[in-house]
Amino acid sequence: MTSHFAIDVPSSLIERAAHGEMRAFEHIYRLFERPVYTLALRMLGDADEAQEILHDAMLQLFRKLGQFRGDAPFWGWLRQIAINEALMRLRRRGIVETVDEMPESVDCSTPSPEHQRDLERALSRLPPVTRSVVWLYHVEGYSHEEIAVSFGKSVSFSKSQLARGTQKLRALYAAPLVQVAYA
Amino acid sequence: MRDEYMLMNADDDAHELAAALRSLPLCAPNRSHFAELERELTMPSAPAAATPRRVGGAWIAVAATLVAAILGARLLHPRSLPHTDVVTAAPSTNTLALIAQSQQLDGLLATLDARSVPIDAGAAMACAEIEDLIGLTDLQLNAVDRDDEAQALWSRRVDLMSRLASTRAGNRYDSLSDNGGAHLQGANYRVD
Repeated sequence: MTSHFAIDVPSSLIERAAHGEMRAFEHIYRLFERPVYTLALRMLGDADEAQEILHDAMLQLFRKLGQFRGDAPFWGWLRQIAINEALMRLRRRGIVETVDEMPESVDCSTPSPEHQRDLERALSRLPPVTRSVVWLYHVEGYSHEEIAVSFGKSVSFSKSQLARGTQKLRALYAAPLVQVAYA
Repeated sequence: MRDEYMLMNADDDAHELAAALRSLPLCAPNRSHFAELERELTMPSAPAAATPRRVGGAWIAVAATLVAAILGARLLHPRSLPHTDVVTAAPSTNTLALIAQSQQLDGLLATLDARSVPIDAGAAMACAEIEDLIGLTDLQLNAVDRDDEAQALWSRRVDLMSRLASTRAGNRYDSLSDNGGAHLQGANYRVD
């Protein structure tokens, strides 16, 4: 399974939106509303900020649509916009420089089974930067090199954050993890 | 043998964790805010969708020259500056070295721009964001009075310019490795 973002969008729809057709843009917005919101919520851990990132990312998308050349998947391009917006927020908080900042609580309103809520709670207890690295690596499939570029840090930063996050998650969520994986 | 066993266990753990995280449901905002976004986009002052970007290079160069000129003037004529309550210091050797480094990087970026090497969309986005951060740093430099603050900002500018040059010079997707690449190949589903 790949990223939730991995949705092929017809080039005709992108072209119409790039020419300012609002209904075409709305179609794209509806397709990616939840993936962008979820990514932002996982990275920032705050529902209001996730909503603002969704807004800002979509605004950026609309303004930059004319620059999309189609030599990479559209969804990957939009995802990078969303990640950059989230990272900008983390930087504004000064969290990228202080990775031990106390974590926010992640509250996803979507109903989910108990073991998933446990995992979400465990995830929310990681510091935002560590959680973001874990999410980008394990869920979005980013390489350590890509994470390092995104954060403006070294590859070893990405590797150490991932190891730290994995270890903490394992400690917080040791038993149910095995049940989920083999269920 | 033991190391091999531990490595295999670590790999299994990572796969289990990735599977568990990916199985988490998508979250949705409490309500859709598209209407607000649409209003913002259709306001008369909203920029057009396909407005070409990239005024950054020239703007950054002008800003850097301006700031360098201001700092240089302060170095040469410190008494001609208007009096303020803030302690204004002449740029230190370190700051001047950073300004020179920044100007060299401006030259390097101008050379890269002239070559018009095609880069992928991801790298283009990364470049655009770095350019935004450079623009922000330039604005801060215009407002700074103290040398220690200016030095920190010039250092940040040099760092951002280096990142911009390396991002622009290299093809991002060439460096995809162990965990990269595959996620950009296929989509989960198609919209027709």
